[in-house]
Amino acid sequence: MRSLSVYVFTESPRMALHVSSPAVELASIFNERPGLIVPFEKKTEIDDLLKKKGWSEIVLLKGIKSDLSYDYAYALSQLMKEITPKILMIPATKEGKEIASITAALLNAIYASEVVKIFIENGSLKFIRPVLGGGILATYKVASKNLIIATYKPYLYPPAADTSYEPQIIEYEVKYEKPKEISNIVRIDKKPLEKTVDLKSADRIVAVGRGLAKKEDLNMIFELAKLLKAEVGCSRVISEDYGWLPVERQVGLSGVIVSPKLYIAVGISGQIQHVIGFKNSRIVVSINKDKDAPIHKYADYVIIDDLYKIVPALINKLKQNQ
Amino acid sequence: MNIVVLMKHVVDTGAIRIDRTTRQPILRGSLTKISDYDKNAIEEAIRIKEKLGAKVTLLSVSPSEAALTSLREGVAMGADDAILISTGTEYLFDNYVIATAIVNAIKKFIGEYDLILAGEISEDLSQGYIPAVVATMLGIPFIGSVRKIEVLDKKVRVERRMEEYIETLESPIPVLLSVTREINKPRIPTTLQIKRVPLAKIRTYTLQDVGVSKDNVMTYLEKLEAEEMSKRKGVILSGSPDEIATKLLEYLKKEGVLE
Repeated sequence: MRSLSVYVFTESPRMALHVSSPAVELASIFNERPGLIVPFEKKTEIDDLLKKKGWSEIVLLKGIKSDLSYDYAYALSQLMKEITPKILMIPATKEGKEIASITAALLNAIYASEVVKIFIENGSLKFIRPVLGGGILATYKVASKNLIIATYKPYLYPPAADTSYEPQIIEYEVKYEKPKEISNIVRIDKKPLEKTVDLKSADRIVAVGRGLAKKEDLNMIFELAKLLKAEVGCSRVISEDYGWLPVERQVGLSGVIVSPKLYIAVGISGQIQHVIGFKNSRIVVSINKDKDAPIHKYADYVIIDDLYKIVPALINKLKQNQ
Repeated sequence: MNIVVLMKHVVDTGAIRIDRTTRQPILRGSLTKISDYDKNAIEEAIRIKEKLGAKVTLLSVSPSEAALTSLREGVAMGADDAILISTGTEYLFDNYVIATAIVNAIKKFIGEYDLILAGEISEDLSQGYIPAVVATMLGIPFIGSVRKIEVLDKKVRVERRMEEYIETLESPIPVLLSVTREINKPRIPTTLQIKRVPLAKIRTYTLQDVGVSKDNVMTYLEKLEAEEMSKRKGVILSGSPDEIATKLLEYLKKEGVLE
């Protein structure tokens, strides 16, 4: 193995594509290419597309005893002690974040959650991450030589450009023992999540917020979305506080970050943590009767009117045009 | 059964103002509250208490004055006891310092515990790291993103929603669980109930009391700055709802964003 400065770990190899470009950029600071670490059991998922992303080496980690977060974390911390990189990057899925946090705790590493950038300034490593509900970026200066474990929100970056560089594929076996109390965690059941929607890949999104008076009125939002061939999204209050829609429809810092061609915000006030979630949209429309609602500042087309008048009018027009 | 709830007192992120010239957030004098996710943790602890009987202790490492209000609110919800490790007037940003303060406070002032609950992330820093590191320092298991807890004999059974699947895990007690906002709907105590909680109910200590120095950090917060947002067109559409709908659809067609 090459003991590189920057490695990416993911238990789900295809996620590596989504962090490949920040990984290549970060490794270039050290005049290197990044390394990629995946469980040996996922070997078959390493396809040509992934191989071409400029990895110096791909490490197939052997000896992971189960797919529980603790097993990945113990295996990974064993490997980190041996190859001592500067930075370990992990895609910030739910699984990834848990593995990252436990590994960082085991290694007394510096944990940098959902960073947007890592760089060197005046000889010091620094990282930037959104805080205080988003819209505010905190710059941290690293004051320790310990390993940095940084998670990156996936789907924000296009995959790295293809290269003809052929990564070395290495099998590496670790041995670890989990303490007794940890090894007594057992999985009783695991079933695939029936996802009703994938907002990340939607071309058009109609998102609804606090302005909606009652759950039944979602029908009209879904009708509008259907006519526009759009998906329905929502702000945090609708999913987390009211429980009217599942959290996979929640757009924002604590939900999904989306980048559709068209984003229509219906009855959404425009809290910054929500705005962060749709800021990469091409065209944004705001519908809110409150002229002072912050959402209007983030829109290309601003409608200061009652959603209960505008949405039916839009539905009507779209039906006429069919 | 002893339950500890890790509770963070945070700036209300919905109410933060930005200084126009420096582009820095104005934190002094901002509205503050219990981090939403931690309210779910408190609620869950109280529900377990109501069902099985338990002593619920709240623990917070926060700036003192405002955090007292939050801790009183937590007690008014139904917690039995509250401990504040005061950081003076400052918000701490270094994970290592915060986690060490929590762990030392648990060892020194709480002692025995069966369950430690925390919110999945805090509303201000949104990291989700403290639960993992506190559990590791205490040498107990940690399970994150839990949306259902069942307390069984000497163990817990929990359900959680991951990225691609839903799973049920069992862990021996003691264990640290971080909970999502799906897990319950926290009760809201009245202002009167909160006022009735005597300040003396909250045991306050300093970082020094738990043997932690603010200087012992691995990271420094260098600056906070509002993110630049790209400018949008801001075309205001007016008229009757019908006229607005027609105009909007014309614009969207021109932009090429309709099917």
